[in-house]
This record gives sequence, structure tokens and C-alpha cells, in this order.
Amino acid sequence: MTITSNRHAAYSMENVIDKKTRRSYKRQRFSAGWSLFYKNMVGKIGLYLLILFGAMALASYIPPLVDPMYHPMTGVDPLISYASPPSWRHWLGTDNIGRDIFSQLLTGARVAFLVGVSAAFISIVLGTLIGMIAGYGGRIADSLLMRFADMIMVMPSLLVILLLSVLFGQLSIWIIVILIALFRWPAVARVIRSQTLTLKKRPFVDMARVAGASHIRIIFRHILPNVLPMALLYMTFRVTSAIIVEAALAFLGFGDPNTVSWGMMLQWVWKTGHMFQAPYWLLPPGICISLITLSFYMMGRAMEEVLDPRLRKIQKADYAAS
Amino acid sequence: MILEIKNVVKQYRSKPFLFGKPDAGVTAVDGVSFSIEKGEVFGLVGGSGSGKTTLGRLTLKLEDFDTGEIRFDGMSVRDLKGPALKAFRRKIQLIPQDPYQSLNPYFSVYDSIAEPLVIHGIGNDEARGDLVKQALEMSGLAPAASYSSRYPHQLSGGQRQRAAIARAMILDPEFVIADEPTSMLDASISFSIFKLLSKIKREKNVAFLFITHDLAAARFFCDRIAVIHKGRIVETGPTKDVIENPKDDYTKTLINAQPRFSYT
Amino acid sequence: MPLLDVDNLTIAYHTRSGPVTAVENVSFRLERGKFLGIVGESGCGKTTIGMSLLGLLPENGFVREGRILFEGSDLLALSQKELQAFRWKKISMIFQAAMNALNPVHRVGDQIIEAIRIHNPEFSEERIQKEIKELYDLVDIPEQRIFDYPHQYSGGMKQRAVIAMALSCRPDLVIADEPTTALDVIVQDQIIRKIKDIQRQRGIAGIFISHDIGVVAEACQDIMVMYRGKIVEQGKREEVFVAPVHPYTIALLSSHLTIDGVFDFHADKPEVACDFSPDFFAGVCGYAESCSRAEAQCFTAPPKWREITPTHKALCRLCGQND
Ligand SMILES: Nc1ncnc2c1ncn2[C@@H]1O[C@H](COP(=O)(O)OP(=O)(O)OP(=O)(O)O)[C@@H](O)[C@H]1O
Ligand SMILES: Nc1ncnc2c1ncn2[C@@H]1O[C@H](COP(=O)(O)OP(=O)(O)OP(=O)(O)O)[C@@H](O)[C@H]1O
Ligand SMILES: [Mg+2]
Ligand SMILES: [Mg+2]
Repeated sequence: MTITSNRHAAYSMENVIDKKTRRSYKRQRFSAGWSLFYKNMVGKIGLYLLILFGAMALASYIPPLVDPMYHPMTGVDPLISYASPPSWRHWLGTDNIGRDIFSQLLTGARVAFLVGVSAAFISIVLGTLIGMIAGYGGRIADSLLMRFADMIMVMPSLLVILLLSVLFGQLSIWIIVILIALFRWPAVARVIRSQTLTLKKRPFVDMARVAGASHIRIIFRHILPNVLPMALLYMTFRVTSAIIVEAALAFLGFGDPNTVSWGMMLQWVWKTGHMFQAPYWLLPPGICISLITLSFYMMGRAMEEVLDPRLRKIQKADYAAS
Repeated sequence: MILEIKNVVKQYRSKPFLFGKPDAGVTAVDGVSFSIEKGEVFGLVGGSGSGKTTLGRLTLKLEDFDTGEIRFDGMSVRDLKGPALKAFRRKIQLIPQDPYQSLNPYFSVYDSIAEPLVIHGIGNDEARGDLVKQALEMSGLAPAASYSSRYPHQLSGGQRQRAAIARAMILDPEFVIADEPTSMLDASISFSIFKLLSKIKREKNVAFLFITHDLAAARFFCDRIAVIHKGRIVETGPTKDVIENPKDDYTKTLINAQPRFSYT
Repeated sequence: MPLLDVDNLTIAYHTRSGPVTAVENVSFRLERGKFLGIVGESGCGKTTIGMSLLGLLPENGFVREGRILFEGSDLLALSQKELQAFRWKKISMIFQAAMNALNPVHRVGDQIIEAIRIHNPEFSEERIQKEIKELYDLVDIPEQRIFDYPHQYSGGMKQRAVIAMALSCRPDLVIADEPTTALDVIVQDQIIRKIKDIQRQRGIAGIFISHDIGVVAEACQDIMVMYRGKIVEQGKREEVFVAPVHPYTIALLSSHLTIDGVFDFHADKPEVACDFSPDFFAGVCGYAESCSRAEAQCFTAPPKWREITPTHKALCRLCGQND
């Protein structure tokens, strides 16, 4: 054949794309993405904050081991039975019945992660799946699914969850998670659907069809990676909104009474009338809620850039309009 | 006869927004008929927007046509479904016109080229690696190792086009639709690609539908050609006859507009 | 002062195996109203040069050394912001990836109007309408197709729309990267003629990147032949195409297919080697291996620039020797 020349003979002797090399491509690809991510300022701050909250969540197991009085729910200080300001014994003070605020705060981080990430994850999985099916499938599937999504979208989710908890009594934290997820997928589905609609017309999808790919393969291997950055971006928004919804529910007194979440802490402050008397009790959960939602948002922005190789260079289309 | 196209019509109508009737639309393919024998290279030559790509898409069942009939190996393409469709797609392949958009940006060159093998469950990982390497080197991306891990945005236009050729040839198809396969390649490489395709054709008896606007390339590569203009075939016949004795006015214009540059 | 003066430009890409040089020591000048053609092997760095002139290299690409002077100001010293003022208005580019330059979710006409409006805020609505109709007329797309979406265009129509877009802001310099690959000869002919008209009327300059020697021979006064990131021959159209001296140029010209079909190619037909990494050949002639005239010294010593005439030179130790 004309196209190879002698110089390549040396290369073709070895089987150049063996398994090992291929695996190492994957690894290098990962490390390349990682370094880019790390360079990104916003992502960096978001990441540090999340690591901080992650550390808090993990550390929440420690205080009860030190002394049972540090148990966030049941442990009360035998000496203090009123709201006390920070001290050596209680770094952030105690609440009105003498429970340690610091250990409550740590546990709150754990609950926030649990609620935020799992609710967001479920809603993203649902939203992405439904969005891709609506966008890729025919007109009928599209209209049905999207009308359904609209119906859910216009429902006032907080109100419905409140009504449900009035009807069924106290809801457990897992039910709350699932309810939040069920109310939060439609917006994701809309975005993913519209992306899928334009992706479907891209020549590489046609090429996959020409190669004989099934619809399932096209959806999961070709469309999914292309919508994933958007889905992940939305996931971070959903984490944010799930945490806020849970906090709001808890603050209104409809949370799971057996968990210590930041919203719950705020509700205790409010209910016991310490709102303006005990800033050491009010501020930490408030600040934590703001910061954790912010950090997930920043992570999302950074992640978007890492996952989309085309965003890494200046987009030509952008410049056409600039 | 491997492919038979009879009176195929395809019209694109723009859908009205809310109210109003659909407008007249664009008739992309307007009653085209021809047939291609096994192992033959058939050229479809025509101007921009004349319906060449659309005809290729119809043949591949990427879109449905309005009226007419397309038969591949005796089977009506319109009726293909399920396993028969999958088998059909193993025998027929496309080298796409736009190499920039036809490779998934998230697939490395290796993943893209190996994909047809994965879909049809051919070989294990190791065998696929070998096949991909062969295909890459065959289409001029050598050494394979330095290309297989790249992503499309790290390749030049011509290199993408060669990756697309490698992908199309990896399944050993019986019939290939080559939609301007060398539009982005320089003379010397497109020349060797044509030689390569001719060799494949001879050795494996592959038939080609070669879509181009370049009569010179058609003359070099095709056994027969059809000239298409505004969705209709205006002239068809053995390459040499059509080019040396054009009957139709459009064909004559096309031939006369051909740049005569030549270096001897 | 020439409009564009590129001096000793070297561009590399960061890759996993370290930086790879894609363009090496490229120098050329372009006067106002002139067209320069760049031809060469696929992957030899033509697009890379074009992108660097606009400051649009991919993130892993960087200029190692060299200077790019446009109207006397150094483009490499400008910030992205300052470059934006140059792009489109002064230097515009017809991208090789015609489809990528069009946003799939907006109508083509709207995208062009947007570009005109941003760069010419003073234009009235009617003026813009008039401009866009003129542009579509120029590239020969029917008026009723202006507001279609990109996927409704054929390959050639997309390419023509991108040409229209690049000309929409009346730039001083147009870089056209394979502008006519998807076009049939009739439209191609017409566009080249129109571009020449515009060139005469408005005095714009252009860089024409193409592998189609016929097109380049038609449109450009100066020619640059590249091989593996280096210029191997440079000169006026008549000199390079009528009396080529570098073996690669000769091989390239002789494998050009023509309709009259002289298929009996010269023995010099290039043996195509596609691995591209000039670093690999540090110092020696990159073409030596495929060259039919190569002598022992070609494999050991670096090639030299030979002047054939004051405007015509080639990078080859054997060329232009009068023996
Ligand atoms: N999805 C679509 N919707 C509407 N019109 C379309 C669509 N696809 C193609 N067309 C139109 O059909 C006609 C034929 O297009 P086609 O892509 O087949 O041309 P072509 O011969 O391949 O041209 P080129 O050489 O420029 O690629 C064109 O006018 C095009 O605009
Ligand atoms: N982002 C990138 N990262 C690494 N290598 C790259 C990148 N972009 C291009 N290259 C390599 O640099 C070389 C020059 O590419 P370039 O796109 O300039 O070629 P070209 O002359 O325009 O070719 P063609 O005619 O095929 O479009 C090629 O070998 C290509 O593989
Ligand atoms: Mg086409
Ligand atoms: Mg290029």
C-alpha cells in the first residue's frame, strides 16, 4: 500500500494499541481533566468549601464518642439547661435545653449532604432519562412526557409536601428526599430534552445509526455524555434547592423530628424565641445553609468546563457573534 | 444488482408555526432512478444542493422517502426492521460529507472506529485493537498509536476525514456510500485514498456510490456516473462517454467550469 | 508597510508526549489587495497558521516564537479583548469546519444579522436587510432560504453561508480555510470571481488555504507550499506552478487529478507518510524519505534555502543548482 512508508515498519511491529496502553489513556484523560478542574478558580473555592462540609459531616461521629452529652439529639449537658454562649466546653454554645450546638451543626452537614445529594441525584436521573426519551422518541412520547412534566412543574411543591405531611403525619427524612426528587425533575427534563433534540440531528448520531447502533446505545453512549455536563450542572442546582426545601420544611416544623438538620436547628431557635437573643445559635446553621448551596453551585460551573472538551477552547460560534 | 433505486421522491416541507398551511417546501430528490451492480463504482455527480446527500441518506434508511422504491440486495429498504435492519447496516456503510460533525466529540478516535465492531459484537478487545490499527494505517493515519487516543478536536480536517474512512471500512461492507470522501484532503492523499478504495473494491468486490461534485475525481474512480441537477438525473452512462460526449446542457456547463489547471 | 508580516512563526501543541511542533519558522508577507495561497499536505499546519493569526489557537496550542504584524501592530502582544476588536471587523475567517461555525439552534440568517449588527451598530434595519440580501445573492442561495436552520442546508450551502458571514463586516483581510471544498465547480467559479471583484473594489487581502491547486492557481498571486509544518517553496503563482523546483511541489502538482485524465503519473508521485511530528526530523529534510531525488546528504544535513529568482525560493539542498 502506498500510504505507509518504511519508517513506520518499526511502529507496526508492536501491537500499539494493546489493552494496557488503552487503560493508561483513560487514566491520562482523567488526570488531564483533573488538572484543568483544579486550575479553575471558582471550582477550587467550591471544592474547598465542599471538602470542609464533607469533613464536618464525617466529624459529626466524633463528639458523641468523646462524651455522651455531646450527642446532638439526646445528649444534654448535666450542668447547663439553658441557652449558653460559646465556651471551652461548648465551642458554639448550647441550645435552650443544654445540647451542644457544635455537634448539632456537624450532624446538620451530614443530613444536608444526605438530603441534597440523594434528592438531587434521584431527580437528575429521572429528569435526564425522561428528557432524553422525550427528545429522542417520537412526537407522541414527547408530548405526553412534557405535558406531564408541565403539570408537576406548576404544582407548588412546598405546599403539596406540607399538605401531605399534614395528611400523613410526620414524614421521615427519606420520604422527604423522594418527594423533593419527584417534584424537581421536570426542569431538568426540559433542558435535557431540548439538548437531545438538537443532538439528535447531529451527523454523529446518524453515523451511529449507520453503524447499526440500537436506540438504547445511541441514547446512552452518544447522547448521554453530551448532555451529562448540563445534567451535572443541574444536579448542583438541585442539590441547592433540595437543601433549601428541606430546610424550609424543617423550619416550618414539618421536618423529620428524629433528625438534626440545619433547618431543624433554625426552627428550634425560632420556636424557643431565641431568634434575637442567641446569635451564636442562629448564625451557624444560617451561614452553613448559604455556603453549602453556594459551593455546590460553584462546583457545577467548574464541572461544566471539565466535562465538555469543546468548552476548553474559545468557541468559534461565540466569536462569530462577538 | 446490489442497489436499485426507482422513482424516488423526497420533499422537505417546513412545518407551519401554529397556524397556516405548510409551504411548497423543497423537493430535494425528484424522481430518481438508477441501479448499481455488485462491485461497481457508481458516481453521482452534481452541484451543491442537488440532492446527492439526501439520496444517500434515503438509501441508508436514515430518512423515509415519499414515493418510489429502494431495493438493496433485493430487499425493500423501506420495510427493513429489527434484526434485518441491523444486518443491512452491517453490509452498507457511509463515509460522511462533514467529518467535523460526524465524529462524537466524546469518543476518542479508537472508540469511534471500534464502535461498529462493538455494536455487531465482532472480536474481543484484542482483535478489535488489531483491526482498528489496521484500519487506521490503511487510511493513512500511521502510526496508529499516535492517533488512536486523540479526540476529534485534536485532528486536522483531513485527519478526521481519514478517521471516518477507517470507521466505514472496518466492517468489511459490501456497499459503501462515499459522500465526498476526500473533500478535505490534498491531491496526493486523495489520490492514494482513491487507489486504496479501488484496491478494496477489486479485492473484496465492494460496490461504491461515490458522491462528488468533482468530475476529475469521478473520472478517475468511477465505472459509471449519473449527473444530478435539482433532484433529477439529467444524464447517465459510462464515465468516459459522459465526460467526453456530454449530451445534456447542465453536464456541459459543469464540464466547462472545471478548472483546467494541469501541470505536465 | 505590508498589511500582514509574519516573521519566523513557530507554533506547537502540548500533547501527552510533550510539545509537538505543528508550524516551524514560517515567514511571509502579504500586501493589501493581494491573495496568498497556502497549499500542502493534509495536517501540515495550514489551519494552525490561520487560527494563530486570529489568536484562536486551541488551548493546548501556543506560539513558540515569531512575530505577527498586522498594519504594524503586533497581534501576539494583544490581549484577547483587544484581539476581539480585530477579529471579524479587520480580519475574518472562513472556517474549515463550516458547520461548526454555525450555531445549530439559531436560524442562519439571524446569525449573520447578529454579526452585522454587533459590528455596525449604526446600521438601520433596512440597511441590514439590504446587506444580507446582497450577501446571499453573492453566494447564490435563494432568498427564501435565508431563515432556515443550519441542518436544513446542504453541505455546500452551509459553506456558502459561512462565506457570506465572513464577508459581512467588510474586513481588510479574509482568511479562507478550504472555503470551496464542498462546492461544485460552477458555484466555486462564481464565488472566486465574486471574491476577486470584492478584492478589486474594496482592496481586501486574503489568505486562501486549500488543497485544491486549481482553485489556488485561479485566485492567488502568491503561493506558499508547505510540508510537515515548514514552507518548502514560496513564490509567485507563475513561478511555483509553472516552474516548480521542490520535489514535493512537483509531486503534489503531478498528482492533481484533471478532467482530461492524464492518469499516467510521474514516477515522482509522493509516497505519503502521514505521521506528523517535525521534531522527529530535527534538522534534516522532512521530505527526504519520500523524495525520489534524495541523496545521502539529505538525510544527514539540514536543508538549505535556495533562491531561484528574487521572489522564488525553495527549501532543498538540491534545488536550483545549476549542474
Ligand atoms: N432536513 C432538511 N430540511 C429541509 N431541507 C433540506 C433538509 N435536508 C436537505 N434539504 C434541502 O434539500 C436540498 C438537497 O440537499 P442535499 O444535502 O441532498 O444536497 P447535496 O447535493 O448533498 O449538496 P452539497 O454538495 O452542497 O452537499 C437542498 O436544497 C437542501 O437545503
Ligand atoms: N488541538 C490539537 N492538539 C494536538 N495536535 C493538534 C491539535 N490541532 C491540530 N493538531 C495537529 O497539528 C497538525 C496540524 O494541524 P492543522 O489543523 O493545522 O492541519 P491542516 O494543514 O489544516 O490540515 P488539513 O488540510 O487536513 O485540515 C496536525 O498533525 C494535527 O493533528
Ligand atoms: Mg451533500
Ligand atoms: Mg485544516
